[in-house]
Amino acid sequence: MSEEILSEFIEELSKRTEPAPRDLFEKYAQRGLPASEMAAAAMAQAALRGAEVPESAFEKSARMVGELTEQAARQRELEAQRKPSMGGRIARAFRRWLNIEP
Amino acid sequence: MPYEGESDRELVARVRSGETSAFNTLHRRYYARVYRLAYSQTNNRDDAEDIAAETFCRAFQRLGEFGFRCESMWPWLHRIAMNLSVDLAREHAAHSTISLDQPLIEGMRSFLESLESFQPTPDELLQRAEVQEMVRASIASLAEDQRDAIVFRFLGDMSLLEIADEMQRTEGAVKSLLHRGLIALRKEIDGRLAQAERIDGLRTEGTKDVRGDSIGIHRRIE
Repeated sequence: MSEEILSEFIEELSKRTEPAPRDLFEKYAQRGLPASEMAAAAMAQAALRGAEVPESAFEKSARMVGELTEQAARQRELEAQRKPSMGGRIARAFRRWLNIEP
Repeated sequence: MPYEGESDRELVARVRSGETSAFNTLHRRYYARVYRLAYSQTNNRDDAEDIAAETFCRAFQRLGEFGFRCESMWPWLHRIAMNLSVDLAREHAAHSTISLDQPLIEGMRSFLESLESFQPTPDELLQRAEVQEMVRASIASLAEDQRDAIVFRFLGDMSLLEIADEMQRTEGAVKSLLHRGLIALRKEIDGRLAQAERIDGLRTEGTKDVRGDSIGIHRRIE
């Protein structure tokens, strides 16, 4: 039962912007959820979501990913150029069959 | 931004069909979450930055092997980031001792016991960098399944059903994991508070000694 109520509490907590919503604590305390479990949940949420993400780290990572994706796109283009078309492959097979191409 | 309104599934399909730039949207969508996950495990900004960048590079390179279990790509990114950070995390979680002063220790204790904290107030308390650092280190040292359930639920905003799918458990088992995880987290925080109190006590005693005998600090701390 406590697990059910805790899950509902976590669900509501995740929608709130303030780290320690008093009204939510009161509501769930009345439903019998222990303070320590609500406190641990609020602490976990605040700690996990609270870390600031440096803009420089994001940009650096975005550059690395951008280079990788461009490189992959170039590679794909090169492979497409190298690969003969379906028509070309049929013509080549046909010439081979006629023994006019080694 | 291009592709912004598209689902993860649509974006992955685009990348696979050759529109590799669609991956940049996935990067933008999940970078903060991956960074915060890595930071929660290492408590170190440089490590978190390296792990987050490497997570996306690996994800791009291994996109061919990836299959969706739910509608989000996050569980897979989570797994890559966790694999990258797990060794570092263990090292940091085992050795990190976060320094807290007595009012903060008391504030955390009273919040954990009764959801009250006078100075700082509960909102201020939960926003303090030292408190968040201690809680992250505590989460990192939990049993793997409890830690994953907590991180998925609180950082990833995943539903219980999605977590259950990802962890290959039932929804009831995930609820139970979260419950046990939060109880274990509370115990872990208690232990760290006691440790911080001892350190603060030593520091205070050392400060008292400074007034009379500056050598006293070194004797006591060593």
